Amino acid sequence: MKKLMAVLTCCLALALVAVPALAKDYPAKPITAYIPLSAGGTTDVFVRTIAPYMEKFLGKSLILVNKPGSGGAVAISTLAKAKPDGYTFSWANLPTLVTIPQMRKLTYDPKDLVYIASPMHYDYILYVKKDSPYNSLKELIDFARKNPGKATYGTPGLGTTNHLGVAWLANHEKVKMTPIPFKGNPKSVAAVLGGHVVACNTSTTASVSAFKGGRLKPLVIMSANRIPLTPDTKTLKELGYDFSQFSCLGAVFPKGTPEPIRKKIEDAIKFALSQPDVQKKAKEELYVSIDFLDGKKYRELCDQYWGIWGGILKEVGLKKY
Amino acid sequence: MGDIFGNLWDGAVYALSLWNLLAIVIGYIIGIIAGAIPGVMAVTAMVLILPYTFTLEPLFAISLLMGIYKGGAYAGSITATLFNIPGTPEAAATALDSYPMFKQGMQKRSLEIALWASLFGGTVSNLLLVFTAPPLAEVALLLGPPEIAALILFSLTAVITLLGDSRMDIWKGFISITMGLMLATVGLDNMSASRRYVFGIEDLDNGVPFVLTIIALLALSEVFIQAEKVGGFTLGSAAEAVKKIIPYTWKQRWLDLKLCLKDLIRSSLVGSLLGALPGIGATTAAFVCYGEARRSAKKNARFGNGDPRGIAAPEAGNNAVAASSLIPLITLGIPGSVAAAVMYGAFMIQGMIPGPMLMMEHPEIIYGLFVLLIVTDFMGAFVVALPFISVVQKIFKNLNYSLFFPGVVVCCVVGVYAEEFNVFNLRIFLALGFVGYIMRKMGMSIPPFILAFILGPILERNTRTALLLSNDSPMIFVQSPIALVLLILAVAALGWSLWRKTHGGKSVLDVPEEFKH
Amino acid sequence: MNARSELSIAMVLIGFSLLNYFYLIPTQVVAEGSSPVYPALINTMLLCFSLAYLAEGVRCWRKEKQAQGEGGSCSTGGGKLMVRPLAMLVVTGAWVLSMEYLGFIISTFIFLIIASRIFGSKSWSKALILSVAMPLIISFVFRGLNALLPEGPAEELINLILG
Repeated sequence: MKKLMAVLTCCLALALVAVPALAKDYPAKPITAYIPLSAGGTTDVFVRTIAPYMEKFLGKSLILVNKPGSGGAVAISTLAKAKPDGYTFSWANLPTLVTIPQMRKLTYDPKDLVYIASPMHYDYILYVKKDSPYNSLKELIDFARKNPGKATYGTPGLGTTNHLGVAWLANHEKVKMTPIPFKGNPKSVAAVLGGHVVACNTSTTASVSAFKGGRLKPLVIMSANRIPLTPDTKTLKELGYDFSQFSCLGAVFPKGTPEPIRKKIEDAIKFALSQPDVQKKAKEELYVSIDFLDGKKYRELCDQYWGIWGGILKEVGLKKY
Repeated sequence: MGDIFGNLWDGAVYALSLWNLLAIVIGYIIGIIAGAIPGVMAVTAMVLILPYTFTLEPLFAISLLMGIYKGGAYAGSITATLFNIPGTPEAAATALDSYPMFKQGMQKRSLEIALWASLFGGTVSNLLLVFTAPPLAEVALLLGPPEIAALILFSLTAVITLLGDSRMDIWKGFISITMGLMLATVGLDNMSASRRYVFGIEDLDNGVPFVLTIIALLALSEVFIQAEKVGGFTLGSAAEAVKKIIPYTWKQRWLDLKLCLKDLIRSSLVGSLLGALPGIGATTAAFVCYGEARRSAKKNARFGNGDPRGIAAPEAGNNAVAASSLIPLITLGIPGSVAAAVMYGAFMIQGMIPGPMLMMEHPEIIYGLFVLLIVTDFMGAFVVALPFISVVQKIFKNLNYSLFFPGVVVCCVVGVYAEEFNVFNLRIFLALGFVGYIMRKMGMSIPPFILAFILGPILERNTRTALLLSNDSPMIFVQSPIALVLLILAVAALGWSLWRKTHGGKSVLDVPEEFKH
Repeated sequence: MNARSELSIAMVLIGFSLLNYFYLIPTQVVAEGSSPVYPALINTMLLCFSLAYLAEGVRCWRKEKQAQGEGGSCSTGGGKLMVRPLAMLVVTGAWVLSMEYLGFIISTFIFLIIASRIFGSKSWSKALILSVAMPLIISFVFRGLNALLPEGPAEELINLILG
């Protein structure tokens, strides 16, 4: 019994020593970071690529935890309940913070969170099958105009930016195109290859292999800039539309996390991105665009797209909150 | 053809190094342990190890993951045989016959049949992967939503063979099927991105995870059942069986092979085909193969009471899925299963994107991978699995059941937790474990529930996608010849199985005692 | 299980499907904006099968009445719910719920000690060894894999010792 008491006292004493670390000597212990997607995807590999450099900068290790579910909402709702002591943050894709809260009732308000920074954005391409009769976006839209509803396009789910981007285009051109939701980008690409849908709007990585294998024909880049994978394909902007599909990866802290701590992680991300290794891997192997946004810009962009994507969600009847 | 052999030779030269073989063995050991521990999935082990492959050599990393994958695909059958607790979902079908056979004292026989069937199914599907991957991938691509829907409906009819024979059992079986379909509707409805039965809980948006459900219904409920037996001397319900181990002679092995050969071949082919289609998975393949073996057997077969074909068919089937689910990955760059998605990640970490380009630019890597796959099955079976089985049998003899079952619960809970790191999932897990216990008490059979739970969402999704494509015209199912044939087959299979159940007298085709109560 | 309990289960199932029709589908499916067609279809199936099951139960009940005392029951499944499984359920539930607050090591330790008693362990020492070793081993494997288990005082202590 005496021994037990002694052990207990020791525990107590040690627990008292471990008072919340001051921002000055942050980080004093490993930091947990949620990845809102399952392991093995582009986002996951990207995060795991920059993590070692962030660890080098911070001097403590990062514990990366894959917490998939509900388009990232599961990870963020767990984060929202965590202590704002800087030892838990989450990666988040733009839809988790912008479109999903407008589509369903969630237990957190994304506007409360502390936005750390955004290291990269995704690129999107609208493809048709190689032997498809449509050689340009205009031809596809003409087809849709003549055959309302017949122009089907694969998306990785309704309400994703892939869906909303084409929905904007269809609305703008006043044609009817039918979105077909598949379970993720790869299946939507497979549906185009099998000829089950006419087109698909997909992120770059999911299509690299099929495109390089000569089985897909890119019609237009949905995102803002031309990309190295398909250097000759024009962007929507170049074709005269005042629109581009935007989604980025970012990191967020729970509400009330002190500014110096946020800044430290922001700097860590910036440091990791400046590594030539990371830049090479992102460009040549993962096909994502490194594009650093600091916390303020990241937040502004999310607020801006809250309105843009929200407007389109309303048009397609998915905006509920 | 000669080209392929040439490539295989180059691949072998490139890939077969001592290090890679070592990686396979290490991987297989990890896989077999993870797979044998109820609740811990080989895929979970792959995911946890994936980040560490950043610093490894490409082929070493991939051999390691491949070993884990293959080891896990086989190992679920070990605990299914010894404790009626499938270590992985795909071993659930194996337990239907391997546990009864084991209880008759033939543990060596049932464990070995499972092992050799796994090796057979794995090898057939490896060879199919090597020689027919491109055409098979094209076939898989041609199957669109209406064809997949019809195929799933046909697969679902395999469930009929899993029902009991009395009228009461058949109605209960149908109730269990509908409840499985119902549980699967929980979560986001992907066709409208809105919720169903979520009750405002975000954690339910992605539905009830399927591994969790199966482990809860089969493994956790078995622990509850075993808790009843405490006090009586039958704890472990097999303690007495151990005393009369019947040896497995070479003659017996030969007879079993002759008996099972037809089912082995059919199951390997069916498993490979189902594996090449994205999203269907090993558990379905195992049940479909079991159902087909049972359907094609003569009426006096001892299915459910330890028929060797009831072990060989599902094991060959679920192991055939392992290699063929890599077909879409390698030929098109599209991962068709969770494990394939992890392999995709592993390639990406190494700076390669699997797909037709990799095949053209670096055939030695892809063919090296093929060679490693073939080697993995043999090395795994002879170097790891055989010794592992004998060790398990030794441990099994002096097992302390009063500590074993609590330990099983801990393993299940840790495995479920490690899948998504979500404490909420543990609550669902526990609730479903109790549902499984009540269902067993009520005489509702669980395998039909599971099959409906897995296939229901695929069926719904593809049916609705087909209707969306055809502008709500059901004609789309009739216009496609493949879909039409499959639909006719499904109706015929349903009718024939039911007729056979209700006519032809009280048969010997009964369900094992374990699934009756 | 006798015919009477079969009948009551059938009644419960029918009750559930009615609840589903009139409460769950309107509030949890339609109100969220989902199509009720597929859930209602499954529910109808459940209702039909439950009615058939009820009819079979009634037939069974009559038979049982006629052949009183002679066995020959046509119902399937067996046995009442028993104490130990229920105890196991409660203990596992308490463990899962407390894990977030006590941390993995301590809660698992307590769970294993109690669960091994429920399973009739006669040796305290063996149970103790398992209950200490298993959570520690699992927690170190997870630590080695850089993955997280729910943390509590015991984990904090280990963190401090390991620095």
